[in-house]
Amino acid sequence: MALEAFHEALGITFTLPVFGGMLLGLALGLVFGAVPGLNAVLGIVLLLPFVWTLSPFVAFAIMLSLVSAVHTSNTFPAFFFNVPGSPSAAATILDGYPMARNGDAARGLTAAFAVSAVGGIIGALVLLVALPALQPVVLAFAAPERFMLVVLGILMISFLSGTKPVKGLLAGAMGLWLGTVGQDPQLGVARFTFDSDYLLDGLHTVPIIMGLFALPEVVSLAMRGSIAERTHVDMGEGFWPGIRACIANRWLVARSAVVGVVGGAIPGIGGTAAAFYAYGMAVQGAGAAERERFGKGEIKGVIAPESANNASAGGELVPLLAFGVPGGATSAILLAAFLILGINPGPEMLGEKLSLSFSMVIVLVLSNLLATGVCIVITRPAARIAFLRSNLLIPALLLFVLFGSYVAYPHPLTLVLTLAFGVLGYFMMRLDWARAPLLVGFILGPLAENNLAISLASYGVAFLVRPIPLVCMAVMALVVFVAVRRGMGRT
Amino acid sequence: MKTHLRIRGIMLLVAVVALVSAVATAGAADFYAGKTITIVCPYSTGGTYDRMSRLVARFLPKHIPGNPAAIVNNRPGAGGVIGLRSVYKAEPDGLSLIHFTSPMVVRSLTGGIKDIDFKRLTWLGSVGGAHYIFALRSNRPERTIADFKNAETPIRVGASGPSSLLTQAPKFLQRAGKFNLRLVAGYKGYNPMALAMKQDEVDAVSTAGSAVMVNTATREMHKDGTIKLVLSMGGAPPPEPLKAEVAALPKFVDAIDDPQDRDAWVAFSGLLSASRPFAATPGLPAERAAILKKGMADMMADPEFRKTATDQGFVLNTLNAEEAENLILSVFNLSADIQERLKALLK
Repeated sequence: MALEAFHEALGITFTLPVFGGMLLGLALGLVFGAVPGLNAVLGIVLLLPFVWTLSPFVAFAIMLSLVSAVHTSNTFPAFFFNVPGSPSAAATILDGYPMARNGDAARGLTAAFAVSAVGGIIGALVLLVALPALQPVVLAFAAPERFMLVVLGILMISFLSGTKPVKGLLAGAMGLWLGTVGQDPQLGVARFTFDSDYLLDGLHTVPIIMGLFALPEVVSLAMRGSIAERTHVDMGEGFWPGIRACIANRWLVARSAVVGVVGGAIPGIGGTAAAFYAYGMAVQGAGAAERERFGKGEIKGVIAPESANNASAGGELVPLLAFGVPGGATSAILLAAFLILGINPGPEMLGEKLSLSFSMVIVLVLSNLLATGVCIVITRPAARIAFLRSNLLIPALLLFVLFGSYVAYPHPLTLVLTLAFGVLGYFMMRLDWARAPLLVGFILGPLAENNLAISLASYGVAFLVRPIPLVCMAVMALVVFVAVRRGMGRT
Repeated sequence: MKTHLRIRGIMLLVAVVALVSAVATAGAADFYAGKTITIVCPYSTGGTYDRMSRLVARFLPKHIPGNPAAIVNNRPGAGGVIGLRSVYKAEPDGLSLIHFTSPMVVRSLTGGIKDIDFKRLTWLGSVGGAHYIFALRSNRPERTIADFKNAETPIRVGASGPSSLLTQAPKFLQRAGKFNLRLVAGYKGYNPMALAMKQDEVDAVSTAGSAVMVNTATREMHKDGTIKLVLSMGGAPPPEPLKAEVAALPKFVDAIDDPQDRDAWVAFSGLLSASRPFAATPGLPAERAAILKKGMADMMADPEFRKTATDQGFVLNTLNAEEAENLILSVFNLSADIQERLKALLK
């Protein structure tokens, strides 16, 4: 039955409407990924009004290829403007932008795109093979497990702080505090909102990323003249070294893809956090000398998050197809699309709708490959952006930053917030404070708070002695122990 | 002769009134030709209110003379207040509509919404109501109202944000029904709560019967007996597949001993009966309001709309403009004592 369904899915996927739909989604996704502020959620929201006019095969071909392409092309602005094309590429900027500044953009981008394809395909294949097997994994991660996983992520802040751990921890604490702005999720008490409705839902991620990372670069770019500090580099030297770096780091690619799939599959964790986890793991697994290079243009710092964020797209579909529970914002819209088409995701996706499930996997594999192919082809011309004069780049960059923030949350205060975080980001950059820990604290803080509150209300303090939290605590103790020993070794 | 003249006079008057009203209606109809109606959904994309807004944007235009276009604009924030305020303060031209959850009106009683007078909105009808039920995991021993009140260990009930119906309903169970419950709050809507129920993180949920049937996790758990519906809370008629089962359940209103609490619950459950209203900006010209109300009523009777909505999992307990308005605004007619009690129960 499965083989028949697979053949049927293969046949349908290569019909003109479905394949054409996939190419359309691919084209849209490449644009939505490359333009800062536009993202996969916005892209598929715009498609939602037309979904009911399409067959499920065509509708999901367009939507899933759009998502895959966004996860691939969002690497461009991360490299050139220090701003992720969408939040899931936030971890890529840590080493992607320094690579571009070192004139190494072509090698870094090639590696990023190649591992994006591999990660995306691993994500799709895991979805195909392990959908029934992953259901218990999703069920095993209730609030206590999610809380511990998030705390483990917060510990990672120390790895994102370079050689200034104290500053990193303080920035992380500031991020945690910013994450508390808004209505308390349990009691509804307004915190730091100053009676403003705008702040009641908390600060928004996109304006913070844009302000914190992109605006300071505009100032710095104005002073430097161009993104790359080297005046000339042979573009031809980037492609094969990029591919070779991927092959050399194949286990990191695979590990990060697994992190991405699992992160995507656990509702509430998602691709952005998973990419930071993968980055943290890459730093953790590096040798002492290599570790010093992270944050300064280390290719492993690009490979790990890129593999994870593409793999998370397949992972996000697991709870959606298995339980009708979206793993993140993108799959929440996909759930709406399912319901608009009169399909209830669940066991029937492995039964009478199996050919649709297979078709979704095929589309994910194909669109990841095609998106990577297109991006690699345009990498060489795109890498020239790094050598453009700043007076050409700055107006476009400013427009993208402000437009992107505003689109994410259309309100005049969004622009004020973006500028305020721009000022904060500029001073942090000048005073050599890492900005990534602030972002990680901001993203993970609310997750930690909410899951802790649910854990305490549901299980009391006994949640700490469940098996997965115990394992997480052991891992945390080990991480702290290793970090302290390394610190003592240095001194 | 005099009578004859009087009859002719009356006929003339009727003809003039009919002509004036026809001209006015035709004018209003002309108004909509080539225009775009914006349906504001004050919640994020992908949820049930968003999907219903999109469905109405698709079907309403063909029931409005002039066949305007219609689009959906998601304006989430502050539990729906930001979107509602945008329509409340919009130009009263009949081009701005909103679809929101009716229990939001209670927030103007509790002081949560100060700058919106719900009585001034132009109510257009309600496309659905919810029948709330209490669903419990079968591994809990409680089955009767007395069991819920005297449960040995608190029943863990999933809850969402403070202004969500998914939190307000269990608060009634706990405070008016005196059930031994522990609210586990913080779930972002019904889907994660359903997963938590499957994970045995919560023992129960208090939600619309239709939600139990639409969500894959709870639908399967209901089918295989992992969860049971144990109490009918009230509201609109239950969805067809649950009708017989719900009819046999004990009623929540019978569990409430205090008469004031009971009155407060009855008023609140009225809101559940019209939980999916559409409204337009206050102060609309009468003829445009009439066109929108009629368009909405015609759309709700349209078999194609009904079939599409049902296929998407919606339970259509439709109410016309007047019925919806009366039910929703009835909370403002409660005595001061009951209003106070309602506030206390939902605090």
